[in-house]
Amino acid sequence: MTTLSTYIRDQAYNRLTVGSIKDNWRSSRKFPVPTLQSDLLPCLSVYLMQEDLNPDGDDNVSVPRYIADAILGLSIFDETTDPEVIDGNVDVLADLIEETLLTDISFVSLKDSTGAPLIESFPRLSRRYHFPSQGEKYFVECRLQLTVRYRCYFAPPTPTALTSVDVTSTPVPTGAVVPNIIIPLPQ
Amino acid sequence: MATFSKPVVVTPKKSQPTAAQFPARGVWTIDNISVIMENDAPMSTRVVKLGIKYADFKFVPMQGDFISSKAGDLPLGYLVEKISPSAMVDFIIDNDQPDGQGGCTYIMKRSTARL
Repeated sequence: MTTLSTYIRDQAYNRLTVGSIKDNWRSSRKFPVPTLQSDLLPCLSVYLMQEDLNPDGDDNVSVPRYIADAILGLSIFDETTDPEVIDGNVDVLADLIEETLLTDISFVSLKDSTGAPLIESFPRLSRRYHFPSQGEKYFVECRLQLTVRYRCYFAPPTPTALTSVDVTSTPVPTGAVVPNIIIPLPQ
Repeated sequence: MATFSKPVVVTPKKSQPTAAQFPARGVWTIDNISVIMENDAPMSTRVVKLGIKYADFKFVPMQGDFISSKAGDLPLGYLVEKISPSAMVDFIIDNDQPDGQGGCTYIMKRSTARL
């Protein structure tokens, strides 16, 4: 996993655990450990599930360049006393999560450490339900998977990078020296 | 059964919708398990079971019926919340598992709201 994916996961988590939306969870977490206790429901989990890097352009040109698809797993786990309404509450909460993240301009146009736009698009958002059959109550888990696409380049470290070329020319067979034509190189 | 059973109250909401509650007895057992959630995250919970003897019942409870018990009659340590031992805790029958020898184990789901 690249640091950028983790950064995006953390930014999503931060936005879902502040303000009024945090009142919907009794607990929240970014890692699947330690074991969740059943008196801490409803629980919001924001995981970095997977990261896929696909070539960005020809794969044998320039430095390794990728289009990264980071899959965030957003899970709401809750209990209910009435199986008739088991999915209603988490459905509302799933809508709230989608709206909170995707209408937040500071998240959608997230910047990296250099101030450049980071996220390119959100090409996929899926929602699934899981009903564990065992346990002391009726449980339901709504699983959102949000794919976040961004570009990821692996430029070689160049502490003495060539930034310009200083050219001094002398016309032949005779002529005055033409000094210091400085040609800046694109970085 | 005679030694370990505890008193319960059966509300036959599903099997006899118009019938009144009636007392019965059963043996409570608890299994501690982990339910696996997204990203293989474990959540600790319990399976609550009530063992009954068919011969003790004129009408046998079925899935969807309610069974209530005093908190103090439930297995020690089951309820971690602060609750009076005399408070009633309601369960709904989620599944029944007859043992073929005149007994049955009910798999219960707690229906009392979050305490």
